[in-house]
Amino acid sequence: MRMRGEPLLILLVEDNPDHAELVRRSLAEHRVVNQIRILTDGQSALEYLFRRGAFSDPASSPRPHLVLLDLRLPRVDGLDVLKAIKQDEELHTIPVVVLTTSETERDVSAAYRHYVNSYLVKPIGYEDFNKLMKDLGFYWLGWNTNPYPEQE
Amino acid sequence: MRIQTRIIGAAVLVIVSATILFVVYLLRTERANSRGRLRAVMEENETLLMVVTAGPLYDGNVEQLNIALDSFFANPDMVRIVLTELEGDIRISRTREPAAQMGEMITSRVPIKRGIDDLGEIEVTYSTARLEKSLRASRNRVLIFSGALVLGLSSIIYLAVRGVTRPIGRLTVAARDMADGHLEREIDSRGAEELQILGQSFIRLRDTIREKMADLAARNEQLRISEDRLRTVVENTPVVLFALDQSGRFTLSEGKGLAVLGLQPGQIVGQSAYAIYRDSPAALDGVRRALAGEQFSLVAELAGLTLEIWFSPVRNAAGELLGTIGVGTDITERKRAEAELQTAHALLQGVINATQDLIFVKDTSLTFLACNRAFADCLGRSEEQVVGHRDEEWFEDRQILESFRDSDRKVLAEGRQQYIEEWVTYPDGKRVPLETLKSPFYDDDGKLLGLIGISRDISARQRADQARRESEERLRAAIGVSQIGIFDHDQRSDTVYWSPQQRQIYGWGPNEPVSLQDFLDLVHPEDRESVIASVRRAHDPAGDGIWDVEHRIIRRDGSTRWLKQRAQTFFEGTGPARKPVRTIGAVLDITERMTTEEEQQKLVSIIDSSPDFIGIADLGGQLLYVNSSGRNLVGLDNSEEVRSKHISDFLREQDAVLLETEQLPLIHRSGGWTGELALRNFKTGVTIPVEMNAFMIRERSSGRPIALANISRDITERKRVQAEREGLIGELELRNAELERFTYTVSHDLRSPLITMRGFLGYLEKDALTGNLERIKADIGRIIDATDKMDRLLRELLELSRIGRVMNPPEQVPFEQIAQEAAGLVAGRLQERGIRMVIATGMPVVHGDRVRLVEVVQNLLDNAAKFIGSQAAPLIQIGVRGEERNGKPVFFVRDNGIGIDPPYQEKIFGLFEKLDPKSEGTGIGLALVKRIVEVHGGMIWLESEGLGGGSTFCFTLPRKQSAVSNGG
Repeated sequence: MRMRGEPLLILLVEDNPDHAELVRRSLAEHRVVNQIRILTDGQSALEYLFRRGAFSDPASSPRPHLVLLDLRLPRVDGLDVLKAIKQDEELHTIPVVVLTTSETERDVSAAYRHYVNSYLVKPIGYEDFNKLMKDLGFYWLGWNTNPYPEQE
Repeated sequence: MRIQTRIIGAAVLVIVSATILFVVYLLRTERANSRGRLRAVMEENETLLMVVTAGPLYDGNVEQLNIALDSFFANPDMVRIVLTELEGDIRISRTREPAAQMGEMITSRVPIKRGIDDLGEIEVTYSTARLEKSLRASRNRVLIFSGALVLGLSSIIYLAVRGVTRPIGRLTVAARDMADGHLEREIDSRGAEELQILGQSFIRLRDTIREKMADLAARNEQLRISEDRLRTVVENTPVVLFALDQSGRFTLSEGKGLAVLGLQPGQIVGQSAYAIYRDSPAALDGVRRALAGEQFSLVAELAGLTLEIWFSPVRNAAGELLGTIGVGTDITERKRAEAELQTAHALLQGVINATQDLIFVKDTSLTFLACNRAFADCLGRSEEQVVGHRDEEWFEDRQILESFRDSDRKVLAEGRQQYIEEWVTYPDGKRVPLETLKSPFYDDDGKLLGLIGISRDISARQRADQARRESEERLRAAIGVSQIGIFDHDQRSDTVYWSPQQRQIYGWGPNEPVSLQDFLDLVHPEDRESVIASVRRAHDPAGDGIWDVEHRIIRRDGSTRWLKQRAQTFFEGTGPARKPVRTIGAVLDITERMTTEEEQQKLVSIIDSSPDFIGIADLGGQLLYVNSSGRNLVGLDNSEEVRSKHISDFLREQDAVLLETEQLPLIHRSGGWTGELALRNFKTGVTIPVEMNAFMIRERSSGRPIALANISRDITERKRVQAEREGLIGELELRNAELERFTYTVSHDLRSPLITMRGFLGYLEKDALTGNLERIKADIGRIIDATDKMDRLLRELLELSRIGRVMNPPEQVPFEQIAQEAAGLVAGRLQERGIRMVIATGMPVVHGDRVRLVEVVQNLLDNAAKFIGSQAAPLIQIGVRGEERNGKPVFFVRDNGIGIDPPYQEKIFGLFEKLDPKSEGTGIGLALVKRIVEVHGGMIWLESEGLGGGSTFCFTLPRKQSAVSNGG
């Protein structure tokens, strides 16, 4: 079990600023997360995770404990970001949870084929959305034992 | 005698001298010895005197001293002794006369000491007289003894020498005699034993010398004889024998051969070979080499003759070169004979090689010794490659090899000629009938050397034989087997003979009589007139009497037969008296053939009227027949033109290659091939797609392939329909995929604002409870934005769905007009951002839905304005490219804005694809543009050098009058 007080970091990749705000607010309400990092497209997500471009300084891009990933993203698609994370020797242990509006079979199976850790569809309605965020936070950052950070 | 005297004299002298020397020595020694003895006595006495006297003197005891002195003085050689005390108190002396007045006096003084004190002195004097006396006596004795010795010895020597020298003298005389050649001299070898042995040795020596001399004499004789013999040989054989010394001078010149050179034996001895041979470089060179010590032979031309000369060096025992010996032989005749033989051989070889017959020679091991060119050619190699080899190296067929070996062995074993006729397959695969005569051959002694073979290719003869046989057979078959009837009509007796076949053909009984009228009655009524006319012609004495017709008969059973008649009428007499006397002819029932021909004719007309291309070619691919539909298809006018073509002429080059390498072999193997091909029309050059069924036509009875045939159907129409269908299916699939993509994106993107709205509505409620007005305001703003977005999305989707479905009627519009119209619609926005716009003039007129095309340009301008960035001099250009694509003009909208990275250039046309999530718009605009362009049959693409490089959207549109695909 994770030690209390340790800063927990969620990387949220979401192009819709309204949805990002909803996620941020729900998580903050339930105090399950100390820190949330929001990136609006696939390319900057990759740059952050692989510490390239604007994120080449590791201090500016700490390893997240969880990645919340939308699938339909500008520039680089969410599925491509997932693939890149799961194919990387260092990053593939980070839990990735897809959070999207799409519930088509094609998207779901593609995500699981590329080793997504969980697939969540954004619910329509405040209560459901709020509850999902709460459960998500408790589950991934509370109950779940995360991989121990690798030596950097 | 002199030696004797000398020896004796010498001996005596030696003895005397030795004796004298001995005596002197003896005397001297004696004297020395006596003196020595004396001196020894004196020394002894001195010491004793000192010892004996010292004590008494010290004591002053004179008496004692006197006794002592007396005892000493008893020595007879002492003549005086005086003792004196140092202080002179005591002096004692004794004196005596010497024994004789000879010799000398010797005095010695002895000090007397006690401790270190000198007490006194004793003086003693000795006389040598007594010694001298005894010495003299002994000298005399010695002299006497010596004399006696000399005398004795001399006597002995004399006697001895006398005994020895007498036999030596005799030996000396004998030796001298022998040396003078008197080997018969005997030796009296009496005397001492050693001398006797010496004498005998002399005798043996003499005997040995005698033997050697005899031997030498014998050898000399032999040498003389052999030399004589050699000389005789040399003088009588036609060789030249000569020897040269190191300076090149002749030391020998012999041999009968000299006469040929015009020389006498020995004539040139002493002359220099260099001088004599100065005109023959070969000979000069030979002389030089020979004198250098080489052993060799050379051929030189001398005095018009050809000489072969052998040179051999002459060396002495130490190996030093002394000169050379040469033997020359006249080989002029031999050379000439050799040349003649070569000519004869060449002639023979020429004849052998010129003949078409194959000639070969094998030894008893059946290895080829020789062969002529014709033989070698048959084996496909040169004559040199044949010699030394055996049949089995070239012939693989075991049967042929066996046959060769059998006949070869028979020839060699039985010694008889063998005649063989056989088929032989050459190494190159050619098979010919050979007639071969093999004969043994022997050397002069009758020894079997091998065999000679002469083979002739008799294929021509065999062919002729076979042809004759076949023609005979055919004739027999024609008469016997085939249904030829024979008839014989004798005009003079008007009798008619019909052979059994003739009767059978006519349906006439075997023994039924027959007449010319019967014959004419049977002729088919339609043919009768022409037959009668032809018979009349044949019987006309002015004609050639030949009757050659084809006609029908109706037999008595009612059946109709086609007959071919051929007859010869013979005439007799001349002028008006000339008349036919006999007609002999043959008839053949050709009903079958005529029927077949009729059927064939029918078949041909069927084939000819077939709508398919039907062609027949020989096995080599040369065309024999193409039906009229086929001729029309490929543009050939008539059958002559058909026959000048080859199958490959109909095909494109690549197809012709395929035909040659794949299809024809396949047809030969499996009998047929079916597939699609393109034929070429000779007139128009257009290729026509056909489905071809090519197959082999085989002879019915033997199954032997005789021709190639093909039936090809023009499938142009079918192809076109197929292509159309495929195009439609492709388009349908495309639409399907598009639809799927559409519903997918729609469901996603319509859901998105709903989530926003519902989510913030929830917060709105909470915020209202807490009274957070700021947040309420912000949340309401978000909800309104989301509804707006949803509304826009729905409208644009509706729009998009209308494209291709709902179209305005197409019209011809100059593109410039469209561009201007669109520019007017976005002018406000462009001005706002300070963007300059340039529209090219004189752009082509396009054909399409004007409203939609304006929409295209408007959307592209909007897009360009949106991504113009912070450009200092923003510019948008609308124009047309110099070159076309797919026959359509390429228009472009170019900006100098932020540009687009290559990875996203394809993506931007996708539905709801936005590169910048913060940018305004729904992501439908470019998808819409693409859809409109594609509906007009054009295509659209983006060219950008990446970020900062600006973007150029290119698209094609149909020119005026061109049909808009699916544009209903």
